[in-house]
Amino acid sequence: VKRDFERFYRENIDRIYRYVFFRVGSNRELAEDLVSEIFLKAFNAFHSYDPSVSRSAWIYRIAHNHLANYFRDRKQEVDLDGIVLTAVGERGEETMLRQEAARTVATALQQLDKDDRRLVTMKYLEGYGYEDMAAIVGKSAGTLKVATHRAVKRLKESIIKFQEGRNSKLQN
Amino acid sequence: LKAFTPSWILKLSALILPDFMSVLWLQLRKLRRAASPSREFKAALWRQLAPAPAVGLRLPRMFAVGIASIVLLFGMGTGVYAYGSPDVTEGHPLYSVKQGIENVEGRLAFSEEQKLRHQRKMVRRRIIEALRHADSPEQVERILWRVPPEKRERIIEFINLRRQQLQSPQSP
Repeated sequence: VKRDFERFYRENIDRIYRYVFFRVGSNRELAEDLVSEIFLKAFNAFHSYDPSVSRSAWIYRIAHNHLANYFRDRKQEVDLDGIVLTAVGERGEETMLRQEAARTVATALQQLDKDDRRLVTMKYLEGYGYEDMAAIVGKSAGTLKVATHRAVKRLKESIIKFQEGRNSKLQN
Repeated sequence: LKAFTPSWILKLSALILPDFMSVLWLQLRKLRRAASPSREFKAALWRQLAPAPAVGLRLPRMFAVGIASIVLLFGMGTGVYAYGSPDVTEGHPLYSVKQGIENVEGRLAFSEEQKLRHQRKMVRRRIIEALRHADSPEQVERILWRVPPEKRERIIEFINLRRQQLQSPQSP
């Protein structure tokens, strides 16, 4: 069981951490506390885990409920399908430029509709594969693949629009 | 401008200059990496979830590893000594170890040339051993028992000469 749980832990720790991290305002300490609690819950319930359910979907559900409880206890209304991106790294010119590019992507991502944002976030930021996404979202992997490609296309358009708007502002 | 630019320059620039999508993937990957848990956190959480087995359970393995290491080291040292020392001859407790190593060495000689080389080496080793025990004719005889008969007589003559040299007071 321990070996089984270890494999489960290795497969999911990064993705669950990112899921939490983007929903707590990129607060690393808070994310670590919450992820610890989530995996402790999973560890205690691992013996009762139903193998017919995808493990990724199982831990995702635990994480989602845990975050919902956390925000409810603090009387905070947070959209768990939304994410909060903040620039990372604060040293030197190069880092500033990188922050700028990251900010552009983050802003464009916020402008996508909820479903598109969720797909792009799950696939490219949290790091889920289409099969896992299908188990979590409850749609087929093929459908999600097409929908994600479309969402990325819209993200691209959104970035171009954002950059054009910024350039025209600078010219004025 | 594109119409007047040679196609090879366009192809080259497409290879060198990053296109929009690759920049977008890069930014998403950077965001993902920035939102990943640290190794220290992952290791600490794993330790918390699956603590090491109790000392009582760990000790036998620790002992087993320690004993195996000692036996291996001791065995290796003993083997090296037995193989290298001319003092280890018939009647010595480590003689069987030496014989075993020499036999293995002989089996690893596949070609005729290698076999001949091994035979010569063994004769040289027997001569050195016999010289070491030159004061005991019985021991010399036992040592040279393993030397091919056609060479044995000449070696015995040589050993006798050496013995006489050792016994005479003018010997160097």
